[in-house]
Amino acid sequence: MTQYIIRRLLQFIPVTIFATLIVYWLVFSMPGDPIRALSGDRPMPEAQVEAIREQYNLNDPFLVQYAKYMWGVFTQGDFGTTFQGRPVLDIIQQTLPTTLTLAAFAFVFQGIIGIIAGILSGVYKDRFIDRLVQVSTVVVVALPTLAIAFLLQLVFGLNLGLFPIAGIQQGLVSYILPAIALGAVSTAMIARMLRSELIEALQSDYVRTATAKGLKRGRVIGRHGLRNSLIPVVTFMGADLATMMGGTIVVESIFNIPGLGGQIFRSIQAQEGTVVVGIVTLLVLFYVTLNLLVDLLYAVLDPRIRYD
Amino acid sequence: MTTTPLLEVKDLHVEFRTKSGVAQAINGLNFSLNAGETLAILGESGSGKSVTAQTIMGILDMPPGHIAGGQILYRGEDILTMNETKRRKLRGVNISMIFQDALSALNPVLPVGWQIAEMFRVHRGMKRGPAKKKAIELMQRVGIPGAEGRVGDYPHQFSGGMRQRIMIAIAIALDPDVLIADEPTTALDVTVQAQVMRLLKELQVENNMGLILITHDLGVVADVADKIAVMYAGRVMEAADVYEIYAKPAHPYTKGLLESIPRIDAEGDRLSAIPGLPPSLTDMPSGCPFNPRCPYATDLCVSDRPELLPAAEGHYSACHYREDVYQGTIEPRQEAQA
Repeated sequence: MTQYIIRRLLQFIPVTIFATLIVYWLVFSMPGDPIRALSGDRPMPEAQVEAIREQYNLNDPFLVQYAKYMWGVFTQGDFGTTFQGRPVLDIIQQTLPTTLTLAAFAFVFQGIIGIIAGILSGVYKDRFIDRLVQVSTVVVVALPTLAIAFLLQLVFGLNLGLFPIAGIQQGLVSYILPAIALGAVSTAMIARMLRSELIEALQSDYVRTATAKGLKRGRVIGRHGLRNSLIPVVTFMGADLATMMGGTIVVESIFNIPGLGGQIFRSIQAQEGTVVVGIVTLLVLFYVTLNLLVDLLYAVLDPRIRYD
Repeated sequence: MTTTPLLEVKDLHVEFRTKSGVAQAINGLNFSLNAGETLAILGESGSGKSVTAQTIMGILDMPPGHIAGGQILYRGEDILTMNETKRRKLRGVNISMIFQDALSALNPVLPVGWQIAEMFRVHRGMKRGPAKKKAIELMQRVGIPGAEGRVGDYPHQFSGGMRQRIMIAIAIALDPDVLIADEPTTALDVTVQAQVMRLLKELQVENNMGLILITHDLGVVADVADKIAVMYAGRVMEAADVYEIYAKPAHPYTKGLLESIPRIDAEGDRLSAIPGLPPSLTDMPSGCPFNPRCPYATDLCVSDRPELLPAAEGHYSACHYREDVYQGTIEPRQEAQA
């Protein structure tokens, strides 16, 4: 087990290097010159441009720039500074809690709704409730997050006036609509996944044994059927938590939430390369760590899986 | 004898209603079982023997399964008309079952000890600790070495024979009156088969259980059964004491089965097999279901279905020529196809 974890941790190195390299390269191949753009309409003196370039290592070859940056990240926790001189780490610290709150809301939402819908659909296969879940999940998966978000704003925000539609000024209630928009597709995926897992499990021999043991139907489904069906769902949710961070880019922009995702969006627009790279590096690390945890969790949930 | 049998199946009909038609899996099944007795239900696949077991246990998938008629009496009470709660309380407690493939029949993600202890926790309301203790005792009883150290292990960590022993431990946990074993040794090595059968036999004697042994293996039957019911196309073709059937089969189907056992002393002879295939359950032949494959079939066999009637004292056969087959005074009317 320990050996397995060490091996996986070593895999972090190439994955992190490769992913950040691509992002770094993409960000610095964006057209336009952010430094000249700093001064607006008035041209900046050539000497000053040169000084700023030197300060941000922009005159170095690409790979050297990259290496210097990564060295800073991993040895000093220095994610660089913006062209306005604000440390990127500062921006991360300010926006991360907001995004984590949003992600937590979405995670809870998709867990509860997805699992309940999946159970109902699987247990009452081919009945009305199952058809309802089947149709609505297809609709949700087919709609882009963008459309879902606008729909939620329109119906629950404007028409019904139940929830705030933008910003986080009203506290936790502000997170509800964005969280639903963020978690909608995964909720549908969880419901569909659990449905098919449960249908398969309920036809399995060990569930038949559970019935033959004289257990109540609820216990047969809950203790024997669900116990197994939930394994892939739980691991999916773990991996999805990492993917969700990407989804926040769209959702935070639409709902005007001052989080990490919205920040990436604004930074790309402003050509703030260091901010984009800093946040994305963090997300890559988050993603690989979460994936490792999910794989370890899998072994805990399913005793047949061994990492020796 | 006026005592009520432990379990009695009367004129049971079970069908499967599918889109492609109605399959008649069981067509008027009759048998009875007394305490301490072993009844072997013998038949090839599709003869309805597993459906019989599932119907008695109440674990038949319905739909597509449908009980079209008949009664199953447990101590004189029809379990088919009982309400679900009462029925459930019999399951695993009074009537329990062992499945063929213990690997798939045991829950792969729960420790075996937990799966045994569940019986005590659910039906006897025991707490975790005492139930676990009971589970260890049972594991010792069914012959699992080092039971105490293995309660927390999972099914995949055991060998096939040990897994089947765990399955047996679950089934006998609450001292049931009736134990149904559906091909309990089919998935096991031959040496292990004998051990598991011996264990079943021991437990049966100890608890005076009625044992229904469902099998297609004539060898297993000869060792342990008291009575045999030979099933074909959802009906009992022949029923008698085990020695009777082996010595003097009174139905051509049974005769064919016995002749298809390879014998070491019959050197050089080609192994005889029953020609043809069992009938399709959606399209039963008229008259006797065995008539298309029977070497003795006559016009009567095509027009009239024979009832299960005595060919001799306590020896029942569903053949128009039961006495002749029983006495061995019948000649094939047509050459069996090679």
